[in-house]
Amino acid sequence: MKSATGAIARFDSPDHLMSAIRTLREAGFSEIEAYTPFPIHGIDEALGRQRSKLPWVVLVGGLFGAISGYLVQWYLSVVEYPLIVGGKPYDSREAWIPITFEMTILFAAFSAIGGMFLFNRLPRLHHPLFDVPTFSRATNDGFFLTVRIFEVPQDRQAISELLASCGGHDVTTLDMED
Amino acid sequence: MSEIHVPARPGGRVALVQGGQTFGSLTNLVSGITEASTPKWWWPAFLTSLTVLSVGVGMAAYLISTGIGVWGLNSPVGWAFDITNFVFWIGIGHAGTLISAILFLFRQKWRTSINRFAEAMTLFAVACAGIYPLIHLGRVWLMWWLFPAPNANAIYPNFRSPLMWDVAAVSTYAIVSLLFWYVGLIPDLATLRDRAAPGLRQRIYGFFALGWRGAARHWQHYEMAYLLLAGIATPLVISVHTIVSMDFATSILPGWHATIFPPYFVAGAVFSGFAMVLTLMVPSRVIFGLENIVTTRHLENICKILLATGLMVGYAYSTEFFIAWYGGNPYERFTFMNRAFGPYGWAYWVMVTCNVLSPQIFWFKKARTTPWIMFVISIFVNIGMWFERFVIIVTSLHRDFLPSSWGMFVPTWVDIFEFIGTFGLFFTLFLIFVRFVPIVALSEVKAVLSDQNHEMQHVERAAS
Repeated sequence: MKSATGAIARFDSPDHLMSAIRTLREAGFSEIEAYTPFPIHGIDEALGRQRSKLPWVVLVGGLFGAISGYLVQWYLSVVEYPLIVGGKPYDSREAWIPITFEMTILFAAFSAIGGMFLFNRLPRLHHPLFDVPTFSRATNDGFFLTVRIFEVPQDRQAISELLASCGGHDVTTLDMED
Repeated sequence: MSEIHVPARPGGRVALVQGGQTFGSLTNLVSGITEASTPKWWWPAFLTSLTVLSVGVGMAAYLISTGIGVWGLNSPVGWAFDITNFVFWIGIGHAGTLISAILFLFRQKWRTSINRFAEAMTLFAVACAGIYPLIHLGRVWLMWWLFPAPNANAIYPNFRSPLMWDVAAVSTYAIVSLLFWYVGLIPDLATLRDRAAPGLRQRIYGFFALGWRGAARHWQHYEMAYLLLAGIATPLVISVHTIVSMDFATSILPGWHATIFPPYFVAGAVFSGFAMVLTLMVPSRVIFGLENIVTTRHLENICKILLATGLMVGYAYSTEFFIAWYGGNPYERFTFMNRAFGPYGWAYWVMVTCNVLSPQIFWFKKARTTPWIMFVISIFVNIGMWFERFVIIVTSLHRDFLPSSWGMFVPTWVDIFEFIGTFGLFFTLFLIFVRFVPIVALSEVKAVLSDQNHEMQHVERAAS
């Protein structure tokens, strides 16, 4: 984990935030992160992010649930303890389907949530950002931006002015990690 | 002046968030409910619910210690109040998933004001439902025989049985509903954390918020996870009541052995669940001052869904009768004549009156926009849907093929108080929920407000 100094600013609306992102990207900053009370349409494209890979995780989880759900029923009913119930064959394939389906759903759900936490590096109860006094508004009505300063050789004063000129309030510097 | 492409009110509709709300005022409104001092009515309501719950616990203890003979069950009516109440509660749960998952996939933005509420209702209803199959086992401690673990005789569960499918479906449903609800809560719990003064409250909400800080990267994966969960919860909710209906439909009993059962049950479940949403929402929005978020338009939409699903249920009732006649099976024909005109005929007509006739008032806009009318109709539908399950289960069982094996079912006091006790559980959980958890999906409503602001700006710009 390397430590670097960054800057943070608060914006009044999603529109101000988006235009600030565009300005900063044009100025050459690439490591920008936004913090918002609700998801903003188009922000991933503005930040140059790629689509989430989560669907692949869920696909694998769902397939695991389907295959294991089916195999457990088949193994226990056909191999481990074959027993005729109600005159039905040992391998009553149609009857395995409902539980197979439910296990598909169950493991897909587990992987969707587990994958989301993993990608987001959560749970993580504390983060340096929580030390920024105004940051509590990020879950209320504030739209925040952080940038890494060292990327472009500009002094702190210049970056603060740049953020303020885009409509940023409460501009401060902070120690960034990751 | 250019053409207005995005009307401020799509299709001439009323805005979803009213009263000139801002992001900050929404936060204050929703968080304030949990932050204000406990309302005067809360403790009496909570203690009453807790008392009713303890009656239910007492009934369950009596049943487990004595045997299921304390219920009015007999041969031929081996399933009665227990399964009726199970299906009743699990059906109510379905509206929550429908609102949170299916309406999400259809991009119905009005869902955001009521989804948290309805999902909580789902969880509590599933908890109530889950009690019945358990205590109906009689020997509850052998419940683990339902899982694929080797028991004392090394025999495994019979996976060909719909009752086993039911175990898988209902437990999956409970788990996925809980996860879905919790994931939706995380950003709002973070809001409560960030508003709390340092101390225990901040620590507790902070723990459950998992360190959420609303980063764009977080939202990206979060939204994808939410979309995927909605995508898998949609077939799940349909499968759950389909499988519940298969508990009946795969038997050979006239009145149960019908291919119409899966869609019929799913429609009925949604119908009953939306009725319960109305029952809870109409008073709650007034008590918590949420009229600007849960507007008349929201309630009207729920009424329209009630009308539509009520018609589906009515159609299913008539189709069943038609097939009983057209199918030419004398046993089935007898079962349906017995259902409507036999000893339990009164229950059948209560069901038809409540479920088919009473929602017809929603053809009138006046009824769809008057809260007390909705409330009354929703109570009728709740009653009617309970009777639907009672009618399907008891009237089919009590007179089957052989007149020599006919019988009657009369509930005992244990049956009745156990059922009342489940309402105690439901409302106890519900009162805890409204006191400690944000009851409106705050971050989602803010996103709706943001879109609404954009539309307004667009119109203003086009007009100027």
